Amino acid sequence: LEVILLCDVEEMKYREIAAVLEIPVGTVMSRIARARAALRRALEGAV
Amino acid sequence: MTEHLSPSVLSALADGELSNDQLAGAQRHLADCPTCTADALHQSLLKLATAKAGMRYTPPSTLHSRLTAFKKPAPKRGYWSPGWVVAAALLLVFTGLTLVQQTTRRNEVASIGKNAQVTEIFDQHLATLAGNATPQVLSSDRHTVKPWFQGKLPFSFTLPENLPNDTTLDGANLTYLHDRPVAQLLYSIGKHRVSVFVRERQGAVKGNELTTARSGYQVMEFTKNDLEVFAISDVDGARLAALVDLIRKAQTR
Repeated sequence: LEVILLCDVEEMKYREIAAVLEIPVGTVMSRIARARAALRRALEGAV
Repeated sequence: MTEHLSPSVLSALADGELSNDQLAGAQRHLADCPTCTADALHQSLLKLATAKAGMRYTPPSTLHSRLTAFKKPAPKRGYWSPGWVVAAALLLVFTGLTLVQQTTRRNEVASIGKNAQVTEIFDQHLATLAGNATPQVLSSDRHTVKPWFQGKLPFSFTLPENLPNDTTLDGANLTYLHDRPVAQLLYSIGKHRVSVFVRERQGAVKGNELTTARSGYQVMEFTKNDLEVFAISDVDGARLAALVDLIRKAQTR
């Protein structure tokens, strides 16, 4: 979930996140999408 | 409609990370797709909720050290962050789409109701013609026909005194449309039989006079005061309209 922290909490751009984590921007995109989907499922399950 | 937007594109949209071309393509799709619009709105709201919750969160030391090494400028905490702007825009689009869908649905329901009404009037008239039964009140005198309904209907109406040439009042029946009592006035125009259904109006006043054609028959309707009137016949439209007009003018109250 660190991509979510960097994106939503630290408000970093995708290319900045890619630089911090040393991964391609495309991977940042897919990780954020998967993390948000997991977060959404977790929140729906909690309600 | 194009294929649904992928989760990556929806996330990038919420994060303001789409290029101009990608953004234009996404907006075109969202204009027609309530599903993706709702998903995009959820993404934006989730992003905002995460950001809010993250204020109370201390990142792991390993991540903190990597962030420190990166020396990123301090995050902007302005009120109009991209997440809020995107969420607000998506909320507007979503609300608009919902309203359009509700209006379309209401129109569809009204159209289905209207068709069912015309079908019932059509069936009642054909049943009257096929049964060839004597009217419950058999008279050509409006002063006999109208009083016959006293105590049978929770409303009153007026019959026109003078009728066009070749038009006669044959009698009337008490019947039901959509489980509501109605007066079925029976006229003849030449050799064409006419049924005029008069019932108490329900709902808002409909200002327009409507004509519907079905299987060689015409259904003309109007509302006036507290009454709804439907006339059906296979006679020439102009002659039916003349009778309908006289009935409408007779409702002076």
